Amino acid sequence: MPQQAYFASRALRALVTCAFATIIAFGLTGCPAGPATYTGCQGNTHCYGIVQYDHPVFGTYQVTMVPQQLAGGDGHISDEMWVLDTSTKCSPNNPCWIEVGEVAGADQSGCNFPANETHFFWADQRPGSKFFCHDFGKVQNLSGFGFNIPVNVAVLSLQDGNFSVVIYDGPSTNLNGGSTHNSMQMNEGEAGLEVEGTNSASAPLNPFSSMFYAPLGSGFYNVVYENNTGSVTLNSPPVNASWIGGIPSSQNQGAAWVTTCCTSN
Amino acid sequence: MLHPRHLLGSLLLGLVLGGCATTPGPVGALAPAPHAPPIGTKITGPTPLLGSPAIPPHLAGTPSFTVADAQQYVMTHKLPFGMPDGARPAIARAQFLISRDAAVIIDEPTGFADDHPLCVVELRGNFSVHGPKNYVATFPRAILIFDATTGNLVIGGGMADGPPSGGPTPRG
Repeated sequence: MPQQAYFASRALRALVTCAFATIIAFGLTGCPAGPATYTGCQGNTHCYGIVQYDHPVFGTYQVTMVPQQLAGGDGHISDEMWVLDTSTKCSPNNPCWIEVGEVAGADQSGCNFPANETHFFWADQRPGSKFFCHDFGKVQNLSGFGFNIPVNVAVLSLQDGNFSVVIYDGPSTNLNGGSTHNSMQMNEGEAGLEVEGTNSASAPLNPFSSMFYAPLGSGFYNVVYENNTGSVTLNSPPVNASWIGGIPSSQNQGAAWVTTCCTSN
Repeated sequence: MLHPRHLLGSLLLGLVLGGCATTPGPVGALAPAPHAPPIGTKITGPTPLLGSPAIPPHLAGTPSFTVADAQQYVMTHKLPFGMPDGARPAIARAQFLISRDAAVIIDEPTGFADDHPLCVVELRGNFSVHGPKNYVATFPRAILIFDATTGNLVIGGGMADGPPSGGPTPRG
C-alpha cells in the first residue's frame, strides 16, 4: 500500500472508530441493519448534512475531505463543497453557485453518474441561467486518487470572470475545471453531504476539515480558517453528522464536520 | 506546508484531545493544515473528463457511434434532469463537433483539447436541475455532451432560451 494511503487509512480507521464511539456515547444514531429506506428526500426536496459559512466576498474557498465508496441507491448521494453568490440571481429564483466533490447516482444533476460508482465532479450555475455538470470520472480511474486518500477541493476566483475548480492531493495529482464568463462573487461556503431518493443510498463517514477562505486575488495565501461551527443544516435521519474533534479554529483545523448516511426514518 | 497525511494526523490528534465528543473539548497544539497545493503542484488547464458510460461504442475509430445512436440514447434513457411526468424532450440539435465549438455552445471549456471530437445533443422542453439548499433551476434548453471516442456522457446541463449558439464545425 502506498505510504500516503497507508497513513490515510490508519487515520481514517481511527476516525471511524472514534466517530462510532461518539455515536454510542451520545446516542446520536445507530447503524442501519440493512439498506435504509427514508422519506422526505425526494423530488425537489433533498436531505443534507452541511455546515455553512457566510462572509463578505472572498476569492478562494477550500475544504479537505476523504473520498469514500458511495452508493447512490435509487437516487444520488454526494460529499461535496459549494460556494455561492447569494447577492446575485443566476436564474429567476436561484443564486449563483459552484460545487465540487464526489457523487454516486444520478437524478437532477445534469450528469448521469452510475449508482454503484463514485465519481469526482464539478458544476456551476452561472449568470445568464447557465448550468453545467462536468464528470471527471470514477475516483479509482483517476491517476493518483483513490478512496481513503484525503483530497482538497477548492474554488479560486481569477477575478476576470473566470474561476478555477480544483481537486488535488499531491504534486502531480490534480483535477481542474474552468468556470468562465462567470461574474459571480463568492460570499458563502458550504460543505457536507447531500442525498436524494427513497432507499439504499449509503456513504461512509467522511470528515470535512480545514475549511478556509482567502481574499480576492490572494490565491492560496492569506487564508483565514473557519473558526466556528458555522450554520448547520441536518436532515436526520437519514443523514447523520456532527462536529468531532472540538471546534474549528486557526489552531484546530483538524476539527471535522463528519457526515454519514443513511439511516431509515 | 504539510502533506495530507499530516492533516489526517492532526485530525486524529484533535479527536483524541477533543475527547471524541460533539461538544467543545480541549484543543491541543495542532500542526497547521496545508493551505496551498504541495510544492511542485501545477494547477493545469481544464482536465479532460472521463464521464459515465452512456452510448456503447460500436464503430472502429472515432466517432465510435453515430448521431442516430445519440438521438436514440436521449429518447430511450432516463435523462439527468427533472422533467414533467411523461414528458419527452424534442431534439433540436445532434451533431459531432470539435471541443472548441462545443465550448462555444456551453460558454465554458469542455476540458478536452480543442480538436477533440464530441457529440452535442441539444434538447427543448422543461428541464430542471437541483442545487444547494434545495435550489431548483429550470431551463427550456438542455445540452448533453458525449465523448465521441468512448460514448461516455461527460457534460450535461441547461441554458436559458436563445438562438442557436456557436459556429459549429460538423464532423462525422
